Amino acid sequence: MCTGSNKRHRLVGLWFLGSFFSALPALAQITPYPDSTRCWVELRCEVSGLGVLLDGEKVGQTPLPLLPVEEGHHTLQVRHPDPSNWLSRDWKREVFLKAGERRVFVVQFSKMYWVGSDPPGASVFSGDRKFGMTPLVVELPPGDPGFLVLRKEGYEDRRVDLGLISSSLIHVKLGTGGLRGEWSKGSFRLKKGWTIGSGVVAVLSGVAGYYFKSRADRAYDRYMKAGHPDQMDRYFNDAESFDKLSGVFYGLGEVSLGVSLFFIIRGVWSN
Amino acid sequence: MRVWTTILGFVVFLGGIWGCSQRERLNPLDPNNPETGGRPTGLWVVSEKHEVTLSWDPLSLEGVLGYNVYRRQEGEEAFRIVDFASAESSSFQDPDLPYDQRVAYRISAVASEYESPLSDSVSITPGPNNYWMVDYYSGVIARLTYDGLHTFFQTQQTLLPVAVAADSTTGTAWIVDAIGYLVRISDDGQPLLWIDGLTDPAHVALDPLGGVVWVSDDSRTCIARYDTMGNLLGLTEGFGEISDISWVEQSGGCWVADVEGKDVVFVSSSGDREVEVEEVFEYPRAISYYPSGEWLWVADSLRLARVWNDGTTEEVVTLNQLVLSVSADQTTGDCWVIIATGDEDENAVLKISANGEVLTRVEGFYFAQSLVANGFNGGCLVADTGNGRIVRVSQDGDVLGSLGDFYGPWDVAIE
Repeated sequence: MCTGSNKRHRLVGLWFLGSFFSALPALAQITPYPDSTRCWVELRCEVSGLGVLLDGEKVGQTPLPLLPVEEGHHTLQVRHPDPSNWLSRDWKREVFLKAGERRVFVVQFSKMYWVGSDPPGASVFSGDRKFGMTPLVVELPPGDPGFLVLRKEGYEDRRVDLGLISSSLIHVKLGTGGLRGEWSKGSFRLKKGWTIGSGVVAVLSGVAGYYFKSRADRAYDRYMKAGHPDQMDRYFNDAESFDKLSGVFYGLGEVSLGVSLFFIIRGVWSN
Repeated sequence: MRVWTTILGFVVFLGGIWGCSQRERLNPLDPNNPETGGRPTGLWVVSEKHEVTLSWDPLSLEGVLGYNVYRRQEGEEAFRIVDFASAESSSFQDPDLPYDQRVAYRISAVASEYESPLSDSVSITPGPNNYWMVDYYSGVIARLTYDGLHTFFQTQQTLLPVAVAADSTTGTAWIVDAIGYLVRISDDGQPLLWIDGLTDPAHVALDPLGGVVWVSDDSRTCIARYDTMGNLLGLTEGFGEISDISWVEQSGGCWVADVEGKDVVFVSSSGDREVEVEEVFEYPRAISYYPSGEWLWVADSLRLARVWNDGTTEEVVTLNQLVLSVSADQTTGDCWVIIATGDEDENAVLKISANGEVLTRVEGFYFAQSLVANGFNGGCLVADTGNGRIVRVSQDGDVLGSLGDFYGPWDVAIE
């Protein structure tokens, strides 16, 4: 039977032994004096604690200030910080090391994204570089501008700011009136046409509405001056008909003006 | 689907606009005009002796050729056309009508092959004289037709008009304003003369023959005489509180009632106190002279008395009710009076003969301040102050009509 005090002593002992053995690899990395028969590798990485493999064998973890390596071809590999993501890839380099050489490697992981679109078949660009057609996996080297542009004929360009996206899965819905994105020349012409067209309709409708309103007023004036009921009825009915036409055109003008303003405001907002 | 929904909504929107359009049928001659029904409007009628003037709102409409004027006189069953007025005219004069017979008018507008519905009718009773009225509460001065039911005009030239005297020879009137003015008003309502500097004037009487205006002045303690140009002719002082004055045609003098001195005094045309009736009356509130009989009606508290030119007095009747105002019928000598009934503000109008017989009695007046007898028809016109109306009463005591356009008609006078 163990008492509570004995149990605590045994746990402290296990912790001490565990700490000792886990510290052994670190002790192995620190070799006091490199000799000329061996090579020396230093791995620098912003993320610490990532596993480092040499020719498939784990030899330590980042950062690795000094790793003794035999002369010859070797494969250096650093585990990706997010191994659960199937799009993530380890940092890997094939190197040839000479005896007495000391090499420093800065470990930076490339960015991998799965990019899809609706409809598919959109070209994916990053700057001037074209990656291919959606759906595809895009690997962006370190120092990339940080955004992708999707283009497809008949649709608005869509710009995806990768800094605003936490997921590595990107699905973009392309549209003739997308929410955010750059207008291609074609799509801009389309919206411009709508804007100008509806504006022209608004102006013409306003002119027509004013014209019919004037006709209605004239007919009503004649009604007010008429001395015979037959004339009164005719002029009054004319006035009402012209009033209705005027109202319809004014209504059409208002709607068209609204459409025009909508496209203008949306264009300004999107840019 | 969305496109079709949008199109459908747009069509409904335009349809709504189409249905919303509406104008009002305001042509006055339009049979569908809800206000006029296509009838000419604005008929207005006055009478000046035998002539009636009818006017209406002019219609400046294309195709209107003129107006048919319809008339129905007393005894006639239907209206008949008496004149066709041109399209440019908006009035019609109907001369040579008999006095005291009611005549009614309607008009229609005539266009080519069309005659509008007949207008509402207006009626009037012509007569030899007209009336003036002052409204103390609104400041309105009005000249009324013989039947008392139509106005030639209503004007506001003074603030607190309290009394009026009419000049039948010129159609003008003299108004005293409690603020301190004596004003002469023309027959079309324009001020002709302003005399200021009076103090609390309350009564006015006119000598049209001598061209003298009598006014109670200086807080009702003196009588001032002016000529028709506004010059002060003289003052007769020494009264306690003048309650009424009445001009005497034959002598050009004026009777004055003094409630504080409890006497009635005759002041000659030169301003002398020629006759003084003292220690007879308790409270001589109102007086009215009957020239043909040469006596003065005096309302003295509860009784009615007569005073002859020489100052002799006769009690005619005791009514047991306060007599507030009197007016002598210039033809018969009968006297119309306003009395207070049970409640002091409720009044009745009585006609009393020279021998004290109550000939007729009319109830229903409230706070009535004045009345004037019309010797031509034997009736009277009452300023029913509390009810804001002028009431015409026949010689038999029938109420022939009233004109209720006023706030508080205070005094009436006959031309």
